[in-house]
Amino acid sequence: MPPPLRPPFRLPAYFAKPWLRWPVALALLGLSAAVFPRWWCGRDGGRWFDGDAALVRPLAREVAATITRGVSTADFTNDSPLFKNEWQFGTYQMGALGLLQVCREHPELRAELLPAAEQAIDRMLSEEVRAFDASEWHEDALSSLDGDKGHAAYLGYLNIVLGMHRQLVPESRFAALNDRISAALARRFRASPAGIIETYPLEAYPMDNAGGLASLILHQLTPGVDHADIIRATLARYRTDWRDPASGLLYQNVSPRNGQSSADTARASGTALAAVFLGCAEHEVSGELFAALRKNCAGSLLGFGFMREYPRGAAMRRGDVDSGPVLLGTSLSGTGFALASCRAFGDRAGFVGLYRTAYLIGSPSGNGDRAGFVCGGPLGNAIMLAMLTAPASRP
Amino acid sequence: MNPRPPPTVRRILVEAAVLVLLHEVAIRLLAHARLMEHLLSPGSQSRWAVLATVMFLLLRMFLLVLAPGWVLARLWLRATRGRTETQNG
Repeated sequence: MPPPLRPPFRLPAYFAKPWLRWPVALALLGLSAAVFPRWWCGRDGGRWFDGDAALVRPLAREVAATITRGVSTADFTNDSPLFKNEWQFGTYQMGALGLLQVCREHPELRAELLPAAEQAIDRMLSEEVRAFDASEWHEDALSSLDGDKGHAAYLGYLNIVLGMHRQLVPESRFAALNDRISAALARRFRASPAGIIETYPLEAYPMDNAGGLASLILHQLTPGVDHADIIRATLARYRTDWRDPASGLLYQNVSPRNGQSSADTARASGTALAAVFLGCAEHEVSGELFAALRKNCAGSLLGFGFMREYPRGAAMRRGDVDSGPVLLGTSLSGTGFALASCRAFGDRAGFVGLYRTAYLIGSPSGNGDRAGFVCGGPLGNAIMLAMLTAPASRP
Repeated sequence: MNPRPPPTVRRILVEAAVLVLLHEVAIRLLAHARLMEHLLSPGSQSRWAVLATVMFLLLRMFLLVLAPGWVLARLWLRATRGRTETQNG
């Protein structure tokens, strides 16, 4: 005789009343959406904030492996040769920055990761990588350090990494170059009528100058060096001239001729990146930029933090190569860069909120030994390492 | 015409497992595709990569944000069906 069929599981008839059944179903859907993703996507946020080596090591290894393997312009997808070369440079710059930060916070990883950081610097110094800047200026940035043309992005981003390497390795083999680039940047800041150094001819960006300025502040720690006058003057411009008075955000670009900009260029992506670089060297202006970001651009939905590219109330616009895609006003780059400032200024809740978004969109994946973000790639992983391991900002 | 039979518990759970499996396969496939470059700065060759990224992210957002509640709500509705609805289930 076959066993009797088990009746399907069913709650008592009382629960089957339509006025109870459907509202409870909707409540379950809503409650679950409010609780589960917030918990699941934020599980590692606090550990990243605390610098848990078990999370840091696999991503650092992935970035180190990418640098050792090398990246070329063929790895990038934009049709513009300039952007492809900038991204190749950016991958090495962010990779070096992230690895140096990890070496400083986790000395036990230094022997493994410092060679990759130095390799990234060597690649930044290669003719192949610096060619993008040379083609715009029709002169090589390193061969023309005695000249007066800008090269703000290449020299600034390179020099901040050289300065950090020098802090970590006092006998740094890059020390002499760090001295020469710092002298050139200081001289160009002083000579500029608007106090800003051009990235390319007639193009000047406060976020690019932040790298150069931060590198001068680091270089100021070297005995016998004095950039105090130009550091003070340029920090003052970041406080007033280059910021939208209403939102406190940095203008994305400034005229190198007269220092003018328009208020509609005040954006989160540039402000957040400048705060990252300045935060490597100083506390006050980077803190003011971060405060402006939090006040005017930060938002949260179901515990997922984000940064608007434009301040609240501003007209919504499309994204560009600086911001990445802007979806419903949210800035991909600004959201990622703001992670660093949250960690630098001890904003744990903000960091975890932004990390949830990074987890949801970036899709981390790995095997414990090496890990990266599926939506990251070489540049995305290098940026995430640098942002997630940003050191605490020091006065 | 007979109405479509309500889903069984097994079917609800199997459908959820298929979503999870699809997501895991997509992560492994897309891990080598360097999608961020396409998203941040699409070029003329980026159309399919951007489309794949958007589809993957939609699946991931559904899976992580809505799917747990969707499964719970379906199980609740399954357990509270009226007697007439269970004739075929």
